[in-house]
Amino acid sequence: MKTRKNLYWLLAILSLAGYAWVGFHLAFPDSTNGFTVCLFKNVTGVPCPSCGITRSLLLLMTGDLRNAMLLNPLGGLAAFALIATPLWIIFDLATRKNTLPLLFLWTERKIKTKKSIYIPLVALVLLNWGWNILKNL
Amino acid sequence: MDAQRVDMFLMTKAKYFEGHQIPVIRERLLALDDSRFLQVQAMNLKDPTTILIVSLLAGGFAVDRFMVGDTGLGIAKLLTCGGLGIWAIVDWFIIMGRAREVNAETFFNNVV
Repeated sequence: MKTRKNLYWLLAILSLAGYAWVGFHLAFPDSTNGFTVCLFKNVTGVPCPSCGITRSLLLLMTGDLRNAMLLNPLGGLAAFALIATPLWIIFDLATRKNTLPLLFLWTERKIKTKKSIYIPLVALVLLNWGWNILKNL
Repeated sequence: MDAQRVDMFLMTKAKYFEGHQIPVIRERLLALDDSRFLQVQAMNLKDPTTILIVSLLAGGFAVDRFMVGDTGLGIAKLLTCGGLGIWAIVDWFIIMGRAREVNAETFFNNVV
């Protein structure tokens, strides 16, 4: 499997990219009006399940939890991941343990194999997608 | 396994593995029983070049990650729109190495 160090590096770079992205929006509000990194939206014009996460995170930063979740619930998940991941990496490195890769592999295996887990999750993502389309994100 | 068969296997499948693994693979194959030849040939190895092309074209949809079996990372990549595009670009460079890594795992799991 992916080595421990590789996983930490990848997660660190991704978290950094996430923070940089949100930071950029805070520093230069409205500079990306209409622009999106979403390949799907750029090709089809239709929003994807993740559209609106940046806006949701920005709302969370102002403390507006309700509207943040109404805009895109995945924003909450993203916020959790952005906060927990760096802390977890530091914890693992400091205590020289392996908890994050193990957790990752365990969740991956559970999601891959258990129908009772992946079917509801896929359904939720699809519902969110439909909701995004209705909201015209 | 017969040295000629081993070399034939390596000639056709060398690009599926990292260069430094080839000697180890060759040794394992030589030590393997001839009757396992079909099983070895039938191993589901992923072509790094194909996956690179997939990554260049559809990396934003994490198809490359799902093809190498990284389901968890694939879902994360998909839900973050290719990791804000950055992950998609990073993967252009590392997905071939990852495919070869997965192939090596498949191989060593199959020849025990």
